[in-house]
Amino acid sequence: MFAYVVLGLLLALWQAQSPDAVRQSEADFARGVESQQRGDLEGARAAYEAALRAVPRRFDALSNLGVVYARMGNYAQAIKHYEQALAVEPQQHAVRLNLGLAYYKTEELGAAVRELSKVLVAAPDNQQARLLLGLSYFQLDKLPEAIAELEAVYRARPEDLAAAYALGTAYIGAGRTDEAGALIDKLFRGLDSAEAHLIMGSLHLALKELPKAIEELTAAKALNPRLPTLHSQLGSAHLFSGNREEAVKEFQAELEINPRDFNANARLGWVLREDGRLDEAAALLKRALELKPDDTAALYQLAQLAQARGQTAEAVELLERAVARQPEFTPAHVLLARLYYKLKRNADAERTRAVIERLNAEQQKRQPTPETRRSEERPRR
Amino acid sequence: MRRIVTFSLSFVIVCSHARALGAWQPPPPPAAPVTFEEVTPAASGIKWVHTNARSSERYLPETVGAGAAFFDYDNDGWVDIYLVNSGPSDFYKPPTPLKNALYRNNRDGTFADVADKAGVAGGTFGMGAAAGDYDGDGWQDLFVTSYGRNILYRNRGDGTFADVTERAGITSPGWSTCAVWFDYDADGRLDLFVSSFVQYNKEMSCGNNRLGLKYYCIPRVFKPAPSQLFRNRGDGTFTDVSRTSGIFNSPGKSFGAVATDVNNDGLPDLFVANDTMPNFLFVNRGGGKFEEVGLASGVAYSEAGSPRSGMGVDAADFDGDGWQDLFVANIDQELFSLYRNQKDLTFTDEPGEIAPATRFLSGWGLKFFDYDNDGDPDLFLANGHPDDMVETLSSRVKYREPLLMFENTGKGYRNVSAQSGAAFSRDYAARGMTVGDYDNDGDIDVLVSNNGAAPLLLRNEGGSRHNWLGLHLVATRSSPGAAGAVIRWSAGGVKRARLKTSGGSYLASHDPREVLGLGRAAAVEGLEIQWPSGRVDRLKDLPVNTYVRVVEGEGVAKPAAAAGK
Repeated sequence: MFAYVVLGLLLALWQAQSPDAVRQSEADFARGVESQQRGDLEGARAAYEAALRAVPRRFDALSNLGVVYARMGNYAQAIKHYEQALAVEPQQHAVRLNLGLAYYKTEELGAAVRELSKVLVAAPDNQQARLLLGLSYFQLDKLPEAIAELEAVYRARPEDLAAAYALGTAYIGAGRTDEAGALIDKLFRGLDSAEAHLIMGSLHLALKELPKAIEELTAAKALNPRLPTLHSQLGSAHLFSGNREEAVKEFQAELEINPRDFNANARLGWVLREDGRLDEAAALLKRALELKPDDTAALYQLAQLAQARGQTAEAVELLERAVARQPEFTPAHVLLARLYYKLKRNADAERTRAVIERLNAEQQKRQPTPETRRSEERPRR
Repeated sequence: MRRIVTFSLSFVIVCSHARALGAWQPPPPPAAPVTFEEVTPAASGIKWVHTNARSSERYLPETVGAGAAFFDYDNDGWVDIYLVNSGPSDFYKPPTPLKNALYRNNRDGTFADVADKAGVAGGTFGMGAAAGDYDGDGWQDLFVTSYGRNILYRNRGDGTFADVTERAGITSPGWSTCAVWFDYDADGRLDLFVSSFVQYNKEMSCGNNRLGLKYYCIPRVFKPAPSQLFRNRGDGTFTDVSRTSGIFNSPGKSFGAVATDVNNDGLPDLFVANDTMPNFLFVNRGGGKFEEVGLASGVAYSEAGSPRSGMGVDAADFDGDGWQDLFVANIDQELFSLYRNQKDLTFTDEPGEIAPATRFLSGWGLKFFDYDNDGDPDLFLANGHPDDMVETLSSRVKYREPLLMFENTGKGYRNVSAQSGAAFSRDYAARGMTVGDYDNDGDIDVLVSNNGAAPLLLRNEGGSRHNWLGLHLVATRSSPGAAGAVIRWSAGGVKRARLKTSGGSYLASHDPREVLGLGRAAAVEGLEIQWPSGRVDRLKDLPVNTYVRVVEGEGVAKPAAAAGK
């Protein structure tokens, strides 16, 4: 007990800064603010760090230093300082929003969801946090959650094109093309901005209206060729149209701008694998899997790559991972069954065959009937 | 003098597992390429035009038909042509009666429609046709598949046919597509396999509400249906053995079917294409039982593990290794597959040059045949997209598509379409496709049936510059037509073999005769026919550039129709 009391006194003494130190810290902090306002990020960083050397638990300096690091693109340092700031003042939701944004930027999406959810508990009307939360869910492929958040933002701010854009994109991702079409038609048709053309193109791509998708995406490219995902989507439209040469060019263009684009990595890897360029394909597919370690399509592509290289055991392992994560992934089961047959693992093969037959039957049952038909079906195979 | 040697059954069984042949040596190519010349309706007299019944509702049967057959209904040694049309159905009432056509071969390059007189004008929403002498009376009968009622026409031998469908017991309601006559139980009688397509419901419509347009539904939305196998009882009637044979256990969305022997056990197997479902390979296990092994054998799904839209199929030993290889055509971007037999009931997909040439095509009728009589099977592909509005969705995929001709080089297939005639530079909504030597000049001609358009008759020009021998196999113990027979011949020191398949292509039936390409060899050094019954006939001193009738166990009979060079 005595030891605890002594420790507490020592901590209190350590925390009590000398007046000179406080004055120095204030001066450094003011210099930091001035530098930051001037856009001198390096000067601001040095000043805030100096302020913190004098008074280490200054909330404002920690928070501002986090912002400076974020502006410098150093999100790891930004996160560190935001978290230190929040350790001092946990109720500062603006800082927590910045922390969530930093996690979003670094694609630590689970952490982003955690922090943004906390912001919304305290400030349910914070639409910026809700938009970011919706986008985080979208990136995590949690589309129902994403749509719920983005719909709430759209209801609160129907004039917010960014929110509508995000919601439209989420609808497309979820296959809710009727809702996407209605929203996008209302807000974006006729707008001559790169973003408007991109989302129109995305909608057409989702609807497999490939010539229209290519037309819109090409228009977006003419206005702003550096728009994220633009080349990736245009590449996909070309790929599904069968224009593999153009698809390759667009995927490569996306990867120059945005090397972490999952679709560009995965689909370019797919094309190159089919073309027999296995080493190049392997690098891309491995990067795709790094970006989305749970992505079964990437596992499946890598399995086919391993199969093409004669690495049957590795192919089996990758496919087993894919079907463990996505038990309804029929093509992966098919490839797995074939390999089991090849390896004379007949019991495994027959078990997998039964799974395939069950999945095929279930898929058939899910087909619409005349009564449920909403006539959204497109004639393409 | 022609001689025949008959061997015992035990010898034949040993031989059936020893089909490996000598090294393949391609003959020098002919001086000019073989071409297919379009025979215009004015020249052929074939004025009939297919009606596809296309409606704004886009009922799926409208776009699937129709088929055609080369067969010799009057036994005059000249193949005639049967063409299938649409007709009344639960979604279509023709404004004027529609008829199938039976074009009698006038033996001068022209044809005359005798369908009404022969009593084979149909009256159903027809799909395909399969000719076969099911009652063994020496006259080819005709089975017509339909969306609705199928029809079995018995050839009376006097130029007329009788509808014996009900009496024969092969009524099969629903939607039937391809049919194959073959003797699955080796009893010397022709049995019948009938592909069933989907459980169609005309109330199911597909389209785009936003645009207010209807499109042809992808068959995925319809439930599969089991195909049917009918056993010939030998008294003019059939027993439905679909359940006991195992065929019923694999409901599909089946189009093309071919009977062949993929495991060289002497029993005919069935390769069946399915649309939006895995293909079936029914291996005949004997005792009237089939086992579906498509997944294990590698022919059910694409290389990526996805079901495709299989339509036309065929089988042949394209690489001359003594094992039957398989081909299936799919819809655009799914790629067509050439499955090389690995001799262990597995196949590897090795399409070679065929893949890039067909990436944007959708294949229906197709056939392996030796178009240049050099002895090996070449490949003809007839194409067309099922969706007439596909061009609104893709800039590269067209509704009407070109024909393709691939020559067997001995190492694979080479696209020779550009050198094969003007017809290959035009586009068609091709569906059925049948092959036969309608002018008896010793090279194989082609007829393509086009959806909603006139058929295209293509006369082979130049195939008979190489020498040839035509065989009309007349079975005595084997089933009529001798499907399953293995023909081995040597000419110019080169040994070759061919298994006589049944069916193949799409909605079609083919000239039952076999033309053996001899290349530049002036004589046939030896001919051996291993009949499905097990009997082996060996023949020597055969003529060339003519057709001969070979009777099982008796050898060469009097010459059939022959034109010679």
